[in-house]
Amino acid sequence: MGRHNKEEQAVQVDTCLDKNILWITSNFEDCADAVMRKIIMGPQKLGIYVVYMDSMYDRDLVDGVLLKNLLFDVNEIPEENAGDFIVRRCLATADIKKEKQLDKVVDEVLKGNTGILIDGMSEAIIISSKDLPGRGVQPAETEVSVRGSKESFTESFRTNTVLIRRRIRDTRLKAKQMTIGVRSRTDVAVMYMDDLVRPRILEEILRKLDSFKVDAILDSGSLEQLTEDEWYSPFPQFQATERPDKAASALLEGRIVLVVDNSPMVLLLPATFSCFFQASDDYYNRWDTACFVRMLRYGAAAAAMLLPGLYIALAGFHPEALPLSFALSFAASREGVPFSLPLEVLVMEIAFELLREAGIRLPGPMGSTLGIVGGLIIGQAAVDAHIVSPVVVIIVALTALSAFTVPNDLFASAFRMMKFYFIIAAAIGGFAGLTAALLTVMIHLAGLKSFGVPYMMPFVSAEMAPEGRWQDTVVKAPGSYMYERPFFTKKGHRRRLRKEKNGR
Amino acid sequence: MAGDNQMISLRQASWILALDVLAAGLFWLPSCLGGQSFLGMMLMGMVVLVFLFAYYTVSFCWLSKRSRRNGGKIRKQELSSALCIFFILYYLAAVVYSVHFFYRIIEGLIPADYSYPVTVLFLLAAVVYGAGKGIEVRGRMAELMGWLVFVPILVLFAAGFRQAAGYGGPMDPHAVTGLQWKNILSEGYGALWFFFLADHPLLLWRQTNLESNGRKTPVKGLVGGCLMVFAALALTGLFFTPEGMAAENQPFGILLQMIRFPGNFISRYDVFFIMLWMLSFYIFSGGMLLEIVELYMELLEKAGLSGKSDTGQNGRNNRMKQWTALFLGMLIFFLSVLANQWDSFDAVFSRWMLWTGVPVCLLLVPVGVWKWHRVEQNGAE
Repeated sequence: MGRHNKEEQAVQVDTCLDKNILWITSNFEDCADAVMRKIIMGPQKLGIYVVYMDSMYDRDLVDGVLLKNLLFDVNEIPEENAGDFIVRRCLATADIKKEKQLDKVVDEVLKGNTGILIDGMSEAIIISSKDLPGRGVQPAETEVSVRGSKESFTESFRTNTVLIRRRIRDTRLKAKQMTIGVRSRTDVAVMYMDDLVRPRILEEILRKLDSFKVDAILDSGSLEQLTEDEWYSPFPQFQATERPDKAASALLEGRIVLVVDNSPMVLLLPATFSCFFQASDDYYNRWDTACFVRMLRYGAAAAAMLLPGLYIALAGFHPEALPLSFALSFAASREGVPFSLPLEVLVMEIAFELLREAGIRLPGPMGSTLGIVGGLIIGQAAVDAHIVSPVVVIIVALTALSAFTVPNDLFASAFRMMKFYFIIAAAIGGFAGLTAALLTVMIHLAGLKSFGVPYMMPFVSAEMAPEGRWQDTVVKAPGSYMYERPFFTKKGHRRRLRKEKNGR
Repeated sequence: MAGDNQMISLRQASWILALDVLAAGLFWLPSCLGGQSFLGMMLMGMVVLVFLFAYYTVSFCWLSKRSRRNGGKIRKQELSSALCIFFILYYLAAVVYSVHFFYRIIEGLIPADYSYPVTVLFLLAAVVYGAGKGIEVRGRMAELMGWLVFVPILVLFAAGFRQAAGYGGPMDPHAVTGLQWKNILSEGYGALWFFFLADHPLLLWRQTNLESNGRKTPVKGLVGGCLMVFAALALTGLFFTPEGMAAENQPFGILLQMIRFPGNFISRYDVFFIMLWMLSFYIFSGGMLLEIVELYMELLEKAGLSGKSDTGQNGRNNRMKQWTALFLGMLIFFLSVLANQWDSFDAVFSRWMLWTGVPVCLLLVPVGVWKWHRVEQNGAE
C-alpha cells in the first residue's frame, strides 16, 4: 500500500488506530527524519499516535506544551467522543483543523505540521506547528532602494504573505492558497484585491495554475514558464520582484501576486512594458528626479539594444553621415585591427557576457577582482594588442551600463539578447537591416499580451483605459496628482486619490 | 481585457491612414509635381490631398450611415468572392510596385551599395511578420510608430523652414504666372494614384470598431498626414524651386541631405530620416499584404476550408495566416525581382492604376453599399 499513485482513491482515516499506524509507517518507511510515537492517555488507556518531521516542527509547542498536556495533565477522558474532548479541552493552540484523509495528513506532516490520530476517531487532527529552517528577512539584493524599505522576500511562504499583509491591512486582500507539484506539493498563494482585480484575469490565472501536473515547483521561475502564453518571447510576461512594497503596490493597482513557497521572488501579473521601468524609489523620491531617472531608463534601454548595431551601421555602411574628423578618428583607431567591424563588436560583447556570467558565480570577494581583471587587463590588453579598437570598448561599456539601468534583471536580459540580433542585422544590411530588425521587434511587442492585456499599453490601445494612462509611464506625475489607478484595475474603481480641499 | 476580435479602434485607423499618407506622399508628391510655378505646384498638391481626404471621409461617413440604418448588418456582410479576388490581385500588384518603389528610393539616395535582394528581403521580412499577426497588431504598430515617425519629421520640418527662411526663399511664392487649372487638375490626378495603393476605405472600415466613439471618421489622422505631406512639398519647393525639383529624381531625398540642425553633430541626416520613412512605409506596404492574407482567409472560410474566427479555431487560423503570409512574401519577392528587370513595369503599372485602378477603387464604396442594400431588400421580400 502506498500513496504515490495519485490516481487511486484517497485513503480515509480509520477508526482503528492500528490500521492507521500500519499505513503511516509503511509510507514513512526508511524516512529517518519522520518521528512517529504512540502514546497511551489517561486511565482509560486511550491510544493516540503523533507524527511529525524532525527539525521542521516547533519543538516548544509540540513537546513542551501539547504532548506534556496530553501525557500529564489529562485525568478524565469520556468514553464517548473522546476525540472531540481532546480537541476541545486538551490542545492548547487555536490553529487546529481536522482531516479525514490519511494522504492529506501525510501532506500536512511533510509541510512541518503535526498529525495526531486518536483511537476510535475517524478524523485526524492537524496542528499547525511549522518551524522551518530559513534565513530571516534581509535587504533586497537585486532591487536596491536608496530611500524606501530595505526588506525583501524570503524562502518562507508564510513570511512572504505576512510581509505583504502588514502593508495592506484590508480584508479585501484575498489570498487563495493551492498546492502545485505532485511530488513537491509546493504551496502557492494567489493574492489580489477583491474589489480592484479584473475577474477575467483572475479566472485565467486560476485556470492556468490548474491546467498542468508537474513533478515539482522549486521556484517561481518554474511556475512562470508553465503558465506564460508566449514562452518563446525574450520579454517576460510576468514581473518578478523581491520587494514587498512593490508587491503591495501592484496589488493596489489591481494586479495579482503569486507567492510561491521556497522562492524569494514573487510574480506580479499582468505585466506590461512600462511596468518594468518602474522602480520603488520613483514613488518615494521627488517627482522631478523620478521623471528624469525614468526617461533615462527608457533611453538606456534603447541604447542597450541599439547602440552596437547603430555603430556598425554608421561606421561600417554610412561613414558619410559622420563628421569628417569623427570618421577619420574611427578609421585611425581601427588601424591594425584584423577583424571586421561586426566581428570586433561581437567578440567584445561575448567577452562582456562571459565576464558578467562569471561574476555572478564567483563569491563576493573575488567579484571585485574580476571587475579589475576584466575591465582593465583584458580590455586594455586587447586594445594594446590591436585585437579591438578603443571605440568598440567604449561602445560595449556604454551598452553594458545602459542595460544595468533597467530595474528588472529579466527584462534587461531581453534587451541584452536583442542586442545580438541587431548586431547581425546591421552587419548584413546596415541601416536598412537595423530598421527592419527594429520593425520585427516592435511587431513582436505589439502582438504580445500578458493575460489579455496588450504588452505595450498604455502606448497602444489606450482607449480601453483612458483615465490616468500617462501618469506613470515615460514620465511620472507628482504624487498629489496621481488620482487614477492604472488600466489593470476593474472599471469603476480607478479612483485612488481624493482631495477634500478641491472637492475632487 | 482585450480579445482577439480582429478589429481596430478609430484612433488606430487614424494613425494607419496618417502613416499611409505620409509614406506615400513624402517621396512621391515632390517627385511628381515639379515643373510648375510654385503656387501652381502647391495648388496641385492641395487638390491631391483634399481629394484624398474627401475620398476617405465621405466613404467612411457613407458606410457608417448605411450601417446605422440597417442596424449594423452591413459591417457583418461578407465581401463577394469576385470582390475578394479583385482585391487580392490588386494588392498583389500594389505590394510588388511598392517594394520596387522602396528600393528605388534607397538605391537613389543612400550611397552604401545595398543589393536589391538584401534591401527588399529586409522590408519583406518585417511586412510578412506583421501580416501574419493580424489587423490588431497592425493597429498597435501604427500607434507606436506614429509618434516615432511624426515627431522627428516635425523637428526636421521646423529646422528646414528655418533654413529656407534664412536663404530668403528662392522663389516668389506669390507668383501666379503659369497657373493653368487644367494642368493642375490633370497632373494632380496623375499624382494621386499612388495613394490609392493604401488601405481601401471599404476594407479598413470593416475592420474598424466605430461603436465606441462619437466620431465616425478618422479625420485627425487624415488631416495630420495630409498636412505633413503638404509641408514636405512646400519645403522642397522653397529649397529647390519647381524647376529644380523637376530636374531631380527624388528632390525630397536631396532635401534631407541639405537640412542642418543646430549643433550640426552629424554630417548627413538623410539616412536617419529615410529609415524613419521606412517605418511608415512598413504600414503602407504591410497593409497591402495583410489585406491579401485576410481576404484569402475569407475565401477559404467561404469554401469551408478554414474555421470561423469565433468558433475557437483561432489558433489554427492564426497558423494558416502566418504560413500564407510567408508564402506570399516569397512570391512577392520573386515577382519584384522580375519587375525590377522589366524596364516598362513602372509605365505599365501607372497607366493601369490611372485608367482602371483609381476609377474602380472610387466606385467600389457606392457599388458595394448599393449591392448590400439590394441583397437586404431582396431578403426582406
